[in-house]
Amino acid sequence: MRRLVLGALALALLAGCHEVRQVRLTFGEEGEGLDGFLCREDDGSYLLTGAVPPGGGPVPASLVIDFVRLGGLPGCRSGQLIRWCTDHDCAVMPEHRVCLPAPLPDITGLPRAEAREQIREALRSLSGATVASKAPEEFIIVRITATLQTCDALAASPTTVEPLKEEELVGCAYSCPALLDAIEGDVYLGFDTLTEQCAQGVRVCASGDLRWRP
Amino acid sequence: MSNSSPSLYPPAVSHHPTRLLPSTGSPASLARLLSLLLGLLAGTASGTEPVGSLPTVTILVMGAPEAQPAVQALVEERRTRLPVTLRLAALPSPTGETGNGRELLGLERQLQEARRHYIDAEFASCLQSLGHEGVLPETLSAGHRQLVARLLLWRVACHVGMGQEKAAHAVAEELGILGLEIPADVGVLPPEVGRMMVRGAEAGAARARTMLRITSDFGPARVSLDGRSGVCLAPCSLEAREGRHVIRVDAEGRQPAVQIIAARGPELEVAFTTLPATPELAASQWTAHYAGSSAALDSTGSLSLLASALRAPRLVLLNAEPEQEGYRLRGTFTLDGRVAARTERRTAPKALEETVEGVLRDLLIQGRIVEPAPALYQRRDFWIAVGVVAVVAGASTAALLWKQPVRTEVGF
Repeated sequence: MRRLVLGALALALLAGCHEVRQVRLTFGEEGEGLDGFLCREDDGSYLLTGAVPPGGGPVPASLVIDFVRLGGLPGCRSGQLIRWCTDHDCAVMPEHRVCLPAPLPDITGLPRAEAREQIREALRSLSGATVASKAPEEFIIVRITATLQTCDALAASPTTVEPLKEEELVGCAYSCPALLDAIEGDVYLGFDTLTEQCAQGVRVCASGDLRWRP
Repeated sequence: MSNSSPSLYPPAVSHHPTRLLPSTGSPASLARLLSLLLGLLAGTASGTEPVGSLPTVTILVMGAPEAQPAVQALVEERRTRLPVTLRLAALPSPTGETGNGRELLGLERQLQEARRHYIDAEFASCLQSLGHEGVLPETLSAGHRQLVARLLLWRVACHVGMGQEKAAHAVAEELGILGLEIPADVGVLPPEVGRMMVRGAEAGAARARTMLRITSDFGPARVSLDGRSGVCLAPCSLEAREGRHVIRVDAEGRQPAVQIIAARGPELEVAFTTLPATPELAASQWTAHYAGSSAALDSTGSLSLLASALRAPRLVLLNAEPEQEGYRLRGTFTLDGRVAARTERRTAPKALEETVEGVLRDLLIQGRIVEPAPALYQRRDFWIAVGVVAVVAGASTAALLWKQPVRTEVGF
């Protein structure tokens, strides 16, 4: 009888335990996912350039990490995602929004490769930071938006998600749709663009419902 | 199985509460204690089972001598798990002709004494030597017709010597009534004795006939008339001359019954009531009828007599017949003298002991001495085992199919 009780207890304990998996967000070995942070305005300047403080120095940016609910499993290309979200309820999950202060370097005038490297170095400081202790159990995309808005300002309303101000956006990257509980390996964040003039793409990426903006 | 242990039917003994220790030392209490002790002693002596004890089953082994040790091991080393007390018995041994032989010698001595008195002309002593009236029927019922004829002859001689012609004729007439032949002793007696014998016998033989209708409470019973054994099986009818006759009936398991009748008229009803045979008598009956024939050993009559002779209300007869590759065990169970169960099994020599126990179990179950083991599904152990297996199977399946809940941490 004692053995039975002990067995049942062990079973209950086992049932109560969770397997903890670690999923790492990455912009790629060479920072190839950072294209969304290297977008230029129509005048050819980097988005980040406009945010450099008057005295120079790093841009006081914040990284807003969102899990965007998709309600299904669309394709990974930006066009596919945008088309999916036209007839699905794609929305940011407010309970999962995380904001991390992340000063970004002044990359004004730097060639694209060097600028990429500098941003990659700057973001290296995030290594080890936890974005979520329990990932959503559904298909989502992970989106990182760089904004000039402070984390304090964004944290004012924890239950609702205020749309990020478009004029404050300085970069964006997102993952393919994924079920994080089942994913093997790292989650790659990137930005789907074929041109450096991609400021409009950043605005689309950062929008709450991933709606296309002409 | 249990093999679990089979339970017993309630033993056929009464459960009277008995106070073993007297409360006071009064004479009445002492008397009660004494009577109780005597009762217990008597119970032990008569072989009755103590209240609440296991029923005793007597086993008799016959046939192959190798079977004896297997049964002995079961009985003496108490290897059997049957809820009975086993007792090994031996077949009744033939008893010598003790009583009957002595009686015959005594009668012969009486005859010689009578003859001596006759020669000495002491005729009254001669008659007295030949014994009382009851000697004749006793001797006739024992079947000694010639001896009875000689007794009658010497009585006639004594009466003739005393000048009692009428009495002599009456005695001589009995010879004819009983259908006896004149014995050879007549040659040593005077001719007037011989003449008296012939006249009397002729007169007796000329008497009218009476039809005897003989019945018995226990059949089949062999009927003997005037010392002629097995003249018919009761119920039956016999013709006899008018006069005194001796009729005896013999039935297996019963004591012989004898009646002296006076046949008169055309018909006479003769009814017999018999008593159960004593164990000693049952043993001698079994020895006489069955000991010589192995084929009839397990017949109903043989078993009934054995049960009585061995004082075994529950008797198992095991007959082990050797075969090419082992033995054929035949078992018969007798309950209160009646065959209650029979069974048969074949066995290899190595498994003899085990098979003997199996045969015993079969017989005692059929004879309702032992309850059969309950069916598998009726056993508690079975359902416990099923439960345990189900739990183990369920736990194993759950363990195989169970996926540990996953919590995914996301970070840089």
